[in-house]
Amino acid sequence: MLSFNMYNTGVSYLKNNNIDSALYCFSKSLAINPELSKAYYNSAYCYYILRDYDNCLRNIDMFMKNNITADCVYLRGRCNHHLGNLETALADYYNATIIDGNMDMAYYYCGVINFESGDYAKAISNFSKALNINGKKYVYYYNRGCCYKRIGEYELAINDFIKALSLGDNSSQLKNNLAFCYMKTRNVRNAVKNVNEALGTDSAFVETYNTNGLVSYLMRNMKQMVIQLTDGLAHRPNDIVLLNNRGVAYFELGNYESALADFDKVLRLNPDDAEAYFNRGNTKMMLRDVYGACSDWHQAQSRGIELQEWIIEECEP
Amino acid sequence: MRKLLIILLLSVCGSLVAVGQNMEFVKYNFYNKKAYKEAMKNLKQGDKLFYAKNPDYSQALNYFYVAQNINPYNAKLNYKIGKCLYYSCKDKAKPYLFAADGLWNDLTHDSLMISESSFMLADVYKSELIFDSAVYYFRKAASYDYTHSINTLIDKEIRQCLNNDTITRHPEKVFVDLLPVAINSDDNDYLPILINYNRGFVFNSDRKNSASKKSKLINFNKNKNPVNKFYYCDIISKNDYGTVNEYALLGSLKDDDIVTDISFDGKFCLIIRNGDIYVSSINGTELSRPKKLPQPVNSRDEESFACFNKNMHYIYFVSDRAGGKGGKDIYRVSFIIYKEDNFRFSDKVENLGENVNTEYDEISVSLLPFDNAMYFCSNRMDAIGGFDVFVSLPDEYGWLPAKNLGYPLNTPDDELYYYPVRDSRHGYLTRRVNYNDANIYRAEFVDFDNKMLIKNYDDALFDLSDEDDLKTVSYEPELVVSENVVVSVSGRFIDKDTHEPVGVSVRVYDLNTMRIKASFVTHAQTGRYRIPLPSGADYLLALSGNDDYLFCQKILHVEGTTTPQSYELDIELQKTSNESLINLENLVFVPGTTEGEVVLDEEASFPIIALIVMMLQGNDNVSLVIVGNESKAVQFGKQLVMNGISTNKLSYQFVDEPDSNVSIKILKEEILKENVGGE
Repeated sequence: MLSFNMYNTGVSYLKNNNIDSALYCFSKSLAINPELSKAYYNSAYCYYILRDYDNCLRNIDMFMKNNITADCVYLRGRCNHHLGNLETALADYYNATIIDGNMDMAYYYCGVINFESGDYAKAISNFSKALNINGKKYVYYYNRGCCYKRIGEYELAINDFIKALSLGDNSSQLKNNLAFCYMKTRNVRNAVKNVNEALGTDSAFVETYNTNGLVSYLMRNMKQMVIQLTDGLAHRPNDIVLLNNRGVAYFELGNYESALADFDKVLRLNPDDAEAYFNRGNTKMMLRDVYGACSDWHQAQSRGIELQEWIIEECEP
Repeated sequence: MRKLLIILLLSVCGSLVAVGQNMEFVKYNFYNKKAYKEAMKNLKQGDKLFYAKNPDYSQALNYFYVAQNINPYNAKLNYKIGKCLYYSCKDKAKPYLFAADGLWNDLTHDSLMISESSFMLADVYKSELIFDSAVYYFRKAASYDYTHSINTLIDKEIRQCLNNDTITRHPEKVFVDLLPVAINSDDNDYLPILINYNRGFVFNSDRKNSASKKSKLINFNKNKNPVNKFYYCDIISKNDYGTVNEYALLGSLKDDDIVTDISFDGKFCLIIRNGDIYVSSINGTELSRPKKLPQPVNSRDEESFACFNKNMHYIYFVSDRAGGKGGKDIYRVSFIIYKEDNFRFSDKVENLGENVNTEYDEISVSLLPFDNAMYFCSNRMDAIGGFDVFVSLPDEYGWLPAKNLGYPLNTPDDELYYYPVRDSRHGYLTRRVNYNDANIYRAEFVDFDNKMLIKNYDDALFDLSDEDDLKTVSYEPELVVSENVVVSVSGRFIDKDTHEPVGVSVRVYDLNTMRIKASFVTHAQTGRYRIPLPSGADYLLALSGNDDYLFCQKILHVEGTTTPQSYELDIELQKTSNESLINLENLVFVPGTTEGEVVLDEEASFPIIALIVMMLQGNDNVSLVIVGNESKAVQFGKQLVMNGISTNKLSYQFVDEPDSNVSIKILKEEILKENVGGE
């Protein structure tokens, strides 16, 4: 009875968010009664809140010697996810959905792992299942939109982003993504509108400056693109995406020296950047440095960039 | 006097450019009368050449320079030098035209001259891509000449300048390289025609024995210029060309003849002679007598250029015949060849339509194989300046709207006679920078369109906080105990080491109330037991009746349940001999208030303390040795004493390890006595 009392005291502490005391009570109840499996589960729960995922896992494993519930499998999935054991986590989430088919969060995290491993079709399927269970979470819409964006289904992505917006997501990240998709569908008016809204929400969100620049690129307004990307670089001077894209804008303007400087900087920051090698090769070619261009193109090729036939011919010894 | 001193000073220094007020060539303006005479003499000689029907600007310049050295402040003389240079060496004209612009006097000078001077200066600025200055001077030129023709021309120039400002800021990816000196002489070299399957080209040049350097470009067939010769050069690579030699094959043609195309198979060539198109067949090293093409290919108007398409189905040609879109237009006519070298033409000549032809001049045309693209030159409104190269692509209805090939292939100067090479990535063209100086260039398009790699950020998915996670799962709630349900617990008592059954007398205490809930004796052979116990409680087991097994640490937990259940539970007993050190697992210590201090948790440790107390109270001949860290052992001993155990029954054996657990050794009385005696 004493262990039960201890356990119940722990639950009371947990209800009041006094995690340390709750954990103490659960450990005491387990000291008295090591077979009180619920105390293991609640200890795991406490450890999860405290971000001590190893101890969380240990307690869940103890609990699961005698019990298997959707919650505990899901929680084990979360711990494994946090610890970077993605395959195990994915299996846990999946098992949680088998035990409890209404566990939208388990579907959601399946989708997250699918996305991170590049399996966008499965990610879309899992986010959709989560949405079928709970259609009011903007995060599900947002993340499914990101998947559509990745596979180039920009119209579908726009639909999901708009839905997320209507459910209360007002972040710059969402507006920036929306702007990007509008840009890809050549809907410049809406792209510009969303870029401006994103910048209005958070002027330090550097990704928006890039999208803004890309809209200008689409409109072939390279001068404007340079200005926008330079604004972004004021916030994050060593951002290789902004530097690379500004280099492209300079290149299109025929300002090859400035383009070269930007690509040089990208390669100083990331000596393994295939795109920057390729772009610098193009720039050197325009500066009639054929040897330098070929050297850069070969570097790009060795990093997975496919070279056009004429480049290969041009660089033949 | 002061002015004269300045003039003399400038004369001595040989300064070329004037700054100041206009100074006319009149006697009283010159202190040095000899210099005045010299200046006037040269002016007259220069004017003779300058105002001739066929002006010789380069010769006139020599005289004007002498006069300029004596008086650099004359607007008209600066204008004349500027004009001479404008037609011979445009890039040197600017200082003189600029000086003239500052010296003009609206009251005394001819407004048309001012207009012309401003126009030339504007054109020089345009060539230098300084479009705002160009626009300024074009407007100035218009303000001094109200004739419709000049205003129409200036309007076009201004619109081009405004357009060019944008175009030149977005250059095309093309290299335009001047071919080597051996090909480009000091004279006009132009109209390259690729032959021998693109392994060489024929071009026109008036490099030798040229009596006059007047250009024959554009309207070459109208100008009866002598001495146009054809040269041939091998193309070894894009940077390497063979020796330039006269092309003997075309040596039999008349001086005025212009060869504008040689068929892809090298069997025929097209010739422009006196404003008409002729065709001649090439048989080995011989050129047949040119045959004039019939009407309607040739008209009463001028035909100035012709070429075959590569499949030899059409001749494309330039004509200014009536009924076109205006100026010179491009037409085509189909033909068949029969009996080896006879041509039969369609009756119908086709104007290529408004996507190609405009009210301005379209001149020179050339096509890719299969008519995949048509390149032509035009001075239309959307040219950058002068003549530019345009390209039009075919569709099922004809030709799509022509596109300017853009800067820097096209410039404010004249780009003429573009000859594309089969893959369209490069071609040869003629550029006329100065009025009398045409050269051949090689253009190479670098296929970069949309090939620069744009980077994007990798999307980060929105993640949920741990709080959101935990909204999904919940902790286990409080346990609800129901004492009404009795659970049947059965099993065996066995020796921990040997697993042999143990016969022992057991009393079961409710840990919460410390009341006896059950009492039984296990079977000596089987060790089995079966007891009914209320669920939702913890129970202590107190042993008696077997001296080998005095103590059981096991606490029986019976979870709360609402339905009758039965548990099977084997209980292991550890023999209590003198050697046995029994680790008290359920004795709980917690950190104290000071660092390193540990305090016995009485509540959590109550069951084990109760068990030991019951054992000691039930066995008078038994005492304890408490083994462990001094602090922990003493706290434990005190707790036993507080629960009624005599201190005589307790002894200590301290271990110098702060983390060690408390253990006990159970001693029977006689042994204790021996031990005590030993101490």
